Parts: sequence; C-alpha cells; structure tokens
Amino acid sequence: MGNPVADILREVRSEELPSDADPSTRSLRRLCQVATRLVGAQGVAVNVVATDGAPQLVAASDGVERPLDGLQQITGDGPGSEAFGTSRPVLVPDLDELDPARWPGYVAAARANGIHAVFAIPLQVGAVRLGSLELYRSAAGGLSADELTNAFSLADAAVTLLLDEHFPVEGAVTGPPASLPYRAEIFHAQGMVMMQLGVSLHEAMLRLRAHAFVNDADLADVARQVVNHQLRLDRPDDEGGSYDGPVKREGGR
Amino acid sequence: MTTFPVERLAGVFVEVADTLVADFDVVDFLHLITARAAELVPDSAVGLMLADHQGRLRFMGASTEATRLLELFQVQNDQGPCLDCYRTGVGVVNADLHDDDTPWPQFAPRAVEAGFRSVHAVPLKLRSEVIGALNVFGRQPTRLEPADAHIVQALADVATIGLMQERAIRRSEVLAEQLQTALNSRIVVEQAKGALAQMHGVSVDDAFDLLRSHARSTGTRLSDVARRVVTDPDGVRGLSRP
Repeated sequence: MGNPVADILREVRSEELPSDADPSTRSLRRLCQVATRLVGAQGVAVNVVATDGAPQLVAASDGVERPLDGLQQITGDGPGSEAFGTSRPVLVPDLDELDPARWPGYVAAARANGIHAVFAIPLQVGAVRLGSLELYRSAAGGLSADELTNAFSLADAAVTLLLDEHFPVEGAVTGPPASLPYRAEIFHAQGMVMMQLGVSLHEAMLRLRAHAFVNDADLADVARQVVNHQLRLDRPDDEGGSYDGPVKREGGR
Repeated sequence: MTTFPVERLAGVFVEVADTLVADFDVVDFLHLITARAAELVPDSAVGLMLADHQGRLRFMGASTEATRLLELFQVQNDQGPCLDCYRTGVGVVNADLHDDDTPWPQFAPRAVEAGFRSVHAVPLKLRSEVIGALNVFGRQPTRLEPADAHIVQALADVATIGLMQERAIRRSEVLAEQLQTALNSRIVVEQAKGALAQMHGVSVDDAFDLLRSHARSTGTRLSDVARRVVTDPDGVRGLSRP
C-alpha cells in the first residue's frame, strides 16, 4: 500500500497554477485544484483560523465564489465553521434535506451559488485546530468510500502544508513536506512543551517543529528527548547549542 | 467450556453494556474493553488498534499504557499479529512467541523481552470490513481454549458496536468519520498526558490514570477533560496528584 498523503503532496507540487496566484498560499491553492479531481467536487476551499475565531478562506480552487465564504465569515455558520468547532467531519450530501435552522444564512447563499452538497473536514492535530477543508458539489450526492478516504488524506496533506508554509518558522527554508508522523512521543512532547514554556498547545507544536528544523533533527527524536527530560526548549540545548530562540518563563511544575 | 470465571464474565458484559449510554466517551470505552479483557485472560496485557484512512493501524487504547510501546513497534516494523489479523480478518490464537518459526522475527523477540510468552489477536469487524484488531499478550505459556477465544472476540465485537454506536451508523461514510474522530480524540488524550506529566512531574503513563480518575470523579468525559487540560491548563490545576 502506498502513502496517499505523500502522493497528494507530490501531485500538489507538480500542479500548474496561473502566475497571479498569491505566493503565500500557492501550495494550498494547488491542493484545492488537486482535490477537485480526487473527490469529484466542483469547488474546494481551505479555511484557516489564525487566532481563536471563525475560519477564514485562505485558498480555493477555481469555481469557488468568494462571496459565499464571505457570508460564512459574517454569519459564522456553515459546514466549515461547524467542522472546526466540533472537531468532526460535516457531511451534507443534499442541502435540500438539511434542517433549515442549522445554518440559516449559509444555505440560501450556497443554493444561490449552485451548490447542492457540501462536505467539511476539520484540519487538526489532536486539540490543535487549524481550520477546515470544504468540498462543494453542484449536484446532490454523498461521497463514495474512496472519495471520503481521499478527503481525509487531502486534509492531512493540507495540515502538513499549513504547518510547513502558512506558519513559517523564522529563518527556516521550506523543506520537502513530509506526511504527519503518528507517534505518541510527539504528542506527549507537545503537551510538555506547552507547560514548560507557558504557551498554547499550537505554539508548542510549532516550537518543537522549529527546534527539529533548526537543528536538522528528526521530530520524533526531538520529542523523545523532551519526554525523557534530556531537552527543554526554554534552555539552551546542551548538545548542539544552536537553538537560540526566545527564552520564556519556566512554566509547569 | 470457557475457563474464565462465569460470574465475572457476566459482570464484564453488563458493565460494558452499561457504559454504552448516550454521550459516552469512545476513548474511555475502548480503554475499558482492554482493561476487562486483560482481567479475564490470566496474567495478560491487552491493546486495541484502529485503522486510519490510509489503512495504517494506530494505537487506540491498552489495559496498561506501557503496552503501547509494543503496539507501536509492531506497526513500525510492518509485522505482528495485529497487522496479520487486520489484513486477513482472521484471528490469531495461541501464537507462541518463543517459536523458532515465528512469522514475526522482529516483533517476537521484542515481545519476549517485554515479558510475554504468547500472543493472540482478534479482528474488529463491521460486516465485511475490518476496522482494527484487539491484541492479547500473555505472560504465561497457558493456552486460550476455543471458548475463551470466542469471548475475547465477543469483547472485540462489543468494541466495534461501541465505536459505531457513539453516533448511529447509517452509511459507510459515517464509519470512516467515526474512526477519524476517535483517532483524533486519542491524540488529544496523548497531548493531555504530556501536559499533565509536566504539570505534576509524573510519567506520561501515570498521567493517563490522573486523567481517568479526574474524569470519573467529576462525571466528565475523558476526552473533554483531556481537551480542557491542553486548551485551559490553568482551569484544571486542581487535577489532583496521584
């Protein structure tokens, strides 16, 4: 079995885009284009939450009308916001069958834009919530098993791109995105660094990635050192000494 | 006949069924299944893995959190009874880890090193689809009788039912959705374990017990406690030390 997320990231990098695309979100825009094929959607959008608040549209495929997402931002309701808020996928194969009270403002706007089915996948790493991936269809109908699997892989790929590019690490050159590793130590280290530095879990995750990048180390190795109390990110690294990020107050204990 | 104590058996299934109330927590529920399975099989440790959308097995719960090291090892090396069971949908019963002809030459020595003699795995199956596997590691060379293996399979079936019941499953897409959500909930628990370990100066394994006892004593879902720990740590400073 191959690695679908790596395959998607490879395809994203080879996708052609018009030269006027915003460089900061070019990869995500490409991902949206690739996504339209992989899930059989007429439009795909990525919403990102910069700080706490409603997701904002940062990238979309051709065929996504910005006014629709503008409306979602104003009304605060819609599938993307709901997927983000509940940390669960939101699958609406037929907007006509939706309880009109669920997203009163959104449904009318979606219909006016010719959308009849919508699916939103949360972009998250445990409790770190980054945004949502939205898929729009012009005809009612559910995602097939393969399309749903692709949607989840696309969401993983979007998380990888977001972490590597949308939240750039100072001084870091974007390396080839790797698909997210699933290692318990990495999640343990995120929680520990959060308490050590007195920062949010989100920032702790970015700090760990930054440390691994700056020291050219494997993220899982860095995490293991943190968990084994061999490394604290708020102190100069005993071994390499090359991490000179901001020293914050000692949190925790 | 099963060698498991019959009264205890009835108690386990009543307790498990009793947990399947509205708004139960899937991470806590699957932990309960592994803990009870480990009580029934003498001198054993039990782990449960679920497949993600890429068909990779991911750790979901264990009777003792330390078992996870072994589970993860299994996945990383692309071999082991859980993987075989997941791929074939057929249970692995009474596999001798000391067997020279073990089908898992990398996995078996590690399991032996961890103090285990035998291993069993049963699939989590929904209709024809295999969604994960339950793994039993025995510290003694005693064998599971066929009736015992059926009971372990029944516990795996209840685990599947629980996964499906957290939200009523009408379509296959909801199954995938449920699995994704359960796996993400497990990540939240791992993140909270790290935060609590740092907060209280305990191991991450002990941090899991802290989470669970706090969830129990406050009548809160385990996943909700975990999420609060990592989003508002100041709000749970009172989470008591062991």
